[in-house]
This record gives sequence, C-alpha cells and structure tokens, in this order.
Amino acid sequence: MTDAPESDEDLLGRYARGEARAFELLYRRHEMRVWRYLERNAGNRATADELMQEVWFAVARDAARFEPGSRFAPWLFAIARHRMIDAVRARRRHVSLEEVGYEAAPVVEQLTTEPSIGPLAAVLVREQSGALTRALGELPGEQRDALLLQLEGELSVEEVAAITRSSFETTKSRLRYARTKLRELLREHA
Amino acid sequence: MNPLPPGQERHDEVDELYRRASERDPSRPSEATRRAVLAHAERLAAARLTAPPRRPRGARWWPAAFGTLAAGILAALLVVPSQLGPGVPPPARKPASAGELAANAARAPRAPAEPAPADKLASGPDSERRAAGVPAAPPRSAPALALREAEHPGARSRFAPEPAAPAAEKRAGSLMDVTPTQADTSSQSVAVTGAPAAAARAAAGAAGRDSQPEEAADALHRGAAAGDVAVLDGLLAQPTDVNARDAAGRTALLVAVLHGRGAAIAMLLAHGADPNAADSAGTTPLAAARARGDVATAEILRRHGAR
Repeated sequence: MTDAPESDEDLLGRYARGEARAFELLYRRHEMRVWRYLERNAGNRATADELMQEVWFAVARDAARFEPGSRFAPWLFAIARHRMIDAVRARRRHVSLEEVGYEAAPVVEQLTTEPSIGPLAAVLVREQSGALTRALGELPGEQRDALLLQLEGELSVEEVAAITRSSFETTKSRLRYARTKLRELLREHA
Repeated sequence: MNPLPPGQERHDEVDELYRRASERDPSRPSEATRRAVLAHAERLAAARLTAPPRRPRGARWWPAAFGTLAAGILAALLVVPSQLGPGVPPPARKPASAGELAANAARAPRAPAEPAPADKLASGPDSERRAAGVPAAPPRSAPALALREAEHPGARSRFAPEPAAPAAEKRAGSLMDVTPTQADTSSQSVAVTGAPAAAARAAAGAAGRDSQPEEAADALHRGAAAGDVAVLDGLLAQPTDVNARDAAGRTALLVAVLHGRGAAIAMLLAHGADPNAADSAGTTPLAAARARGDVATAEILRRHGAR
C-alpha cells in the first residue's frame, strides 16, 4: 500500500512556510494544465509563455494569503483567468472573451517544427492537435473558457460559475453547448 | 492530484478526445519560463525563511504603544534634569516664575528638531539621482523615424552604432550582428557575451551585490543579451536600475528585444523596464521588435504601453 500524494493545499502551505521544494512539486503537477489553459485560450505561444510566468509569480507571492480550507485548483485557475483577461484588455479596450481573436496558426506551426518526433508521427500529431486547436478556435470565447477551466482545472460546474462570475445555469448551458460543438468538430476531423 | 469534487459532470466522449489530443500535443512552456518561475519561487522562499515571524494581528498595537511609552519616559528623564539645573536641591527651590522658566529654557541644550541643512542636502541629490535613473520618453520624431525605416529592408542600418560614441561601436555592433537564429541558441549567445554561462551568472551576481552601479548595469545587459533569466532574476532582486543604459544608450530591455529573448523581456517588463526607452539612435524596443519581424514581442510591448 502506497501513501497518497500530498495534497496541493498542503504543498502550498509548506511553500508558504519557506519550503521551495514544495513549490516545485506543485508547479510540476500543474504546469501543463495551466499552460494548455493559457495557450488554448490565448492561441499564442509567446503570450502564453509570458502569462505563465505572471501566474506562477503570483502564486509564489500570494501563497501565504491562500485561504485555509479552500481548494487550490480553483484558486490557481482564477489567477490564470484574471491574468489572461488583463492581457486581453491591454490588447484591446473593453473586450470580453467572446471577442478574443483566436490565433490557431502559430500553434500548428510549432507542431510542424517540433524536432523530437519523426516525420510520420509529426503528421499524425499535427492532424490531431491541429484539429483540436481548430475546433477550440471555433468555439465562442466564453464557451471555450468554461470548457478549458473544467477540462484542465478539473473544476466543478459550481467552481467554473464562481470563477467566471456567471450563474450556475448559464455555466451549465455553456458547457453543454461547448461539449456538443467540440464533439461534432472533433468527429469531423477524426 | 485532488479528487474531482462531487457534482461534476464526469468524462464523456469529448473529455476522452480532448485528453488524447492533449497528450500528443508537444507544446510546452519554454525552459526559460520554467527556470524563471522556480528561481523566483526559491528566492521568495529563502526570504520567508529569513524574515521574522509575523505577529498576530490583534497584538500589533502593543509594541507600538510600549515603544511610545518608553520613548516618552526616556525623553522625560533627559529633559527634566536639564530644566532643573545642576546643584539645586529640588525641595528648597521656590516655584519658578514664568521669566525664570523662559531663561532656563533658553540655557538648555536644544534638541535638533529637524535635520541639519547638510543632511537635507545629502538626501536631496540622492533622490534626484534615482529620479534621473528613469529615462525620459524619447522625442516623438525619433521613434517615428525608426518605425518608418524599420518597414524597409535596410532598416537594420538604423541600429548601427552612433558615430558620436566610438567606444561603444564595437560592442553595439556585436549585439546587432547576431541573427535571430543565433540569438535563439544559448550556446551561441554565450559566445556573443564572451563568457561561459556559469561564469556570467557568478559575475552578474557579484556585480549586483557589491559593486558599482555601472558593473551591475553591464551584467544586466549581458544577462539580457544571453536571455539568462536566472542571472536577471538575481540582479533584479538587488537594488538595480532596470533602465540603466549602455554606452549606446540601450536599456537591457532593448538588448533583450534585439536578441529575441522572450522570457528576459517578460521579466524586465515585470520589473518595471520602460517599454519606450529609446537608444541614442532613437530606436525603441517596439521599433526593434518590428524590425526583427517579432510580432509576438511587439504585442507584449504594446500591452505594456509601448508606443
């Protein structure tokens, strides 16, 4: 019988008390989830890289302010979402996620230039990941955001609703539409 | 990982398709970002370990009140004897008249109520120097010219070193001689800076800690050129002028843009680098990014107020 892995909240608490190793474990556990959330919402790798830094800097800075008894993942993704919205607002004035232009091309270009995979595998990866990227890009911004929060953050409908400041019913219907549309789009590309 | 909270809609076909495609997605955050995040977190953790433990909120008034009371008692002990004067037994003394009290007060040594003029002068230029460290916005005509020229193929000549600064010519030239491909390869960037990465990091750390501001600025520029975020993080943790200029008037941000160092650019901007600080030739970071065709960097600079 193996010990259960230490919870995110415990790791954050240890980091708040000065244990740098705990932060590294936390970072590695959530790195790809946060990255995919940022990149797939922003549709731009350079912006996602910059936001990634900002998000984790904020986590490190505010670790001591984390409210005991709450869950880490919603807190983390709320920070990520706020940073992303700030970035979008700076890019355009009075912009909602609905209006964010989705730049799928750079992501697909990165996939084609990935050096660690062979040419045939690269074609398959490009097709599948490109299909996913295109499908996400075709979703309305608020639906994409809600779906990514749920898929990457593993958040409940209630948590997504709280982070996006929407009602439970609105969030639920956004998620339902997003899933239906994504299923159709992915089947088309499969 | 934490278990899913109750009430969540569990995996369906979309989740499975999404997960499978995500697993095959080779996109990753850059190594520089990872290093910068972990280095920053480590520095904060070290600071937390060395910081004194925080007192409970409710008890915060107590040390302040105690300190004030102690200072009051101390002041009374110092001032009252000087008011009384030496050799006069207190019980035998008659109540002093208003005139006598005034005379005593005039004889008593006066505590300096405000800093001496020399102190004022000493603090004045210091703050002015700090203020002067923030570069003034470049004249509007200069970036406009740079942008126009950047749109043409010969725009790189815009970045040629200033004839008026011969000492900087060689160094400035070496920065611009790096092609974008070269700049993206860390081993080649080491060759550009002329020192192995570890040595550069150690030198930069030493420069930031206990040397002259010029040396710290030089280390900052070298770190920006090499895109070494660990070095930059160490330097910026010290009181360093993030907008310090090299001999060609370039800030570290401009150098990082010229070398296409995304993580270094983000870090410098996060530490308050001026996105509009032009070099002696009037080239702004935004103009440099456009000249390199670096749309993403141009976008990031605009987000930080670059014009």
